[in-house]
Amino acid sequence: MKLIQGKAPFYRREQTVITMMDDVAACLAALLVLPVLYYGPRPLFSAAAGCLGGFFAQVLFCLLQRQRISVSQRSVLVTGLTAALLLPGDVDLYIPALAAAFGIFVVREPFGSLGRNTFNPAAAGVAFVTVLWPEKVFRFPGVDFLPLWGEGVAASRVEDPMSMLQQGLIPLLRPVDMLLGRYAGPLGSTAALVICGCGLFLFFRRTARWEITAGFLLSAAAVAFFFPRAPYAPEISVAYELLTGSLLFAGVFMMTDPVTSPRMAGPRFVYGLLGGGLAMLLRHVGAYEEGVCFAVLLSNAAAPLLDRAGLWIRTKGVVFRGKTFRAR
Amino acid sequence: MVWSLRRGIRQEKHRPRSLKQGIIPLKAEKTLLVPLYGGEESRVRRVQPGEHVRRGEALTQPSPEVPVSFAPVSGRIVEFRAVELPLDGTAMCAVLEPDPEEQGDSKKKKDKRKELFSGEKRRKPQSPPEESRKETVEKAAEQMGIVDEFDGMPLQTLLENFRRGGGKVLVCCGLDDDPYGDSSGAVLREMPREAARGLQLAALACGAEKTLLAATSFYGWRKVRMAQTGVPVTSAGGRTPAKGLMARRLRQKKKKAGFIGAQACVALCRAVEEGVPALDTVITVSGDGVWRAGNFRVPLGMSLEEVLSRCALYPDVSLVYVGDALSGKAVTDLSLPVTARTRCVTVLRNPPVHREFSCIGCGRCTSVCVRGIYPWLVHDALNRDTVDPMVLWNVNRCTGCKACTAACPAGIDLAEEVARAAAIRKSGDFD
Repeated sequence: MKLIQGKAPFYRREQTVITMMDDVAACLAALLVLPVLYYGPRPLFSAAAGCLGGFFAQVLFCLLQRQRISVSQRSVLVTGLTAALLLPGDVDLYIPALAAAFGIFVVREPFGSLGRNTFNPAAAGVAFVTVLWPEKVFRFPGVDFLPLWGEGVAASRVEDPMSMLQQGLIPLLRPVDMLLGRYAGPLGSTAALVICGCGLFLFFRRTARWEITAGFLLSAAAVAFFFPRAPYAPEISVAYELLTGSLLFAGVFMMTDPVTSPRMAGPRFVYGLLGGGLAMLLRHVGAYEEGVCFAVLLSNAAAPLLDRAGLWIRTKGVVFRGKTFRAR
Repeated sequence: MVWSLRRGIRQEKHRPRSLKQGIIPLKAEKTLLVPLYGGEESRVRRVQPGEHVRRGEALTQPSPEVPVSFAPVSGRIVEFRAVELPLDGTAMCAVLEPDPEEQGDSKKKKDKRKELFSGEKRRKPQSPPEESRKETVEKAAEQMGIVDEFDGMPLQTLLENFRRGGGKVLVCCGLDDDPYGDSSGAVLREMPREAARGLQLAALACGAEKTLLAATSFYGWRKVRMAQTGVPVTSAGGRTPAKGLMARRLRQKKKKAGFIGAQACVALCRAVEEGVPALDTVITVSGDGVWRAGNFRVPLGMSLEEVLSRCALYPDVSLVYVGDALSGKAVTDLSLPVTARTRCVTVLRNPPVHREFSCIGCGRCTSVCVRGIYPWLVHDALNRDTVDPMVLWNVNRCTGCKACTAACPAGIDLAEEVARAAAIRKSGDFD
């Protein structure tokens, strides 16, 4: 009998970084199910292109740095899938691949790989391709079977709620279609019901934090309620703004990335508020019809500051009407 | 799968049914290593090598700082030896060769016991005036070698600290943060009345306003409650660190709590009512490497090897640890003795393998910490060139429960970093 020398604790929770990434990757894969039903197998190619682009960028970086190639990193998969899901279903395959590769090669790896990056790689990658090819990124196909190669038939203006909202027109979508994602939009970020289900799963697993999403949706809804882009009732404006485009997707999957968001509960909520406000601001005044990726990047930059402010309040307390409030 | 939004960790318990079948007494047949606390100095020791000692005879002089050691069995002292104990640090141990006739029939043993306590009359459970009762309890706490099984502190010191700290609630702690063992829980379940009486005596000695019996599981809670001890019973809810979470709950109700282990309560009850010093301890031997898991009452100083030989080990055992899963120590030398702090001996065939990643900032460590520390912040601060004093403002609160390390999905030893940060804060050297 040979006994080994171990170190306490001898019990650890089963959740590791790998299982957390698996949770997110599983949720993103679940978002591909409805698009496959609507568009045929073409969305799978797009997702595969994103994953492969990220994977090759990772391998290339490891080779350049002469590190051991860690193929088992699920976060590459998460970045690739997120990039693909934010783009149209019939987009040229090099675009999701390039977005994921940019995210991994430029935004994540140079800062010291997973856990040390300041910006969300997928958001940066999609922002990069948005700047390069805005006409391809915002050209959404109609809900129809897509050809396996080449572009599908573009949706008419009436079918594309994002461009209608940007022009101050009222899109006419059935509520069921909005919840199940049967309208022209980014590949995986239209099915609101599935996104909400995935969000609940991630919140209960504590892989994502609910404070961020709550703040994000709250401020986005507030902006939509008070400043509607088209002449309709405020509550309809809230429904259209939250359920169309990739706002909900970004609130559940991109803002909640633990690496790039603040780590204290209070700052996380403020971070969510900031992200939601910025996303709506970019929709109102931005050059593109959807600016969520830029909003995510901007709020990523504010995350360390918010944490610092939270720490300051926690240690020094805040003075309000002559009383000092300090956390216990 | 861990589904939780609450503080603390939900441990998945792997407790075999045999742990519910009472406490099995084990007799020592081989040489014992009885730890003599403070026995490095020869004037503290009351016996010499070669001398014969009777069961229950004091081996060291009474002292306010360290507990008195007693001979757990009759036998001959062979020598004194300094031994590195896994949980208690280095201590002088008496090598005790038990008498072969000790393992006689029960009648003979009963006679011996009668003979042993013939000097002083056995006190019957009755209620003498409160003042003298308080003195009796204090004397028993000081001179009967009772040690709290959770932190290894002599009972006298523990009660003194509670009194000085202005504690309100005294809790008899039957909480084990271990997926395999529940020795204190078993003591509370099997001897609830003795534990309750011991707790009330301790409360009398330290002036606690309220007393509380704390069981981990619903099963234990129900069993203690059915005993109708007259002391309120609570269930800690099974989350880890149970003791810390309970202290936190009581603190939020503005009730400062002190904890005494269930075994110490029972020992105090016996010491006061029967005049029997602490001679044995209850340990759980469990884990996937033992065939016959169970709770055993073993004499203090019995070697782990002898204990494990009664439990049928698998041949491919690779890890043995004593203490609970969060703060225990691995043992490679099985000749080490069982001490009052041992509580659990866990034998594993397939110890868990961990990989370390860099911190991803999920904040789980903060959400499990019962003292409101931010371990990720400490980790971040210690990995910089100079440490920002502001981020170390509350690291000295750490109770060392190691829940943060257990919860960290990146496998970082955060408890160690917090301890390091506390040392830096104390030294004032932040560069």
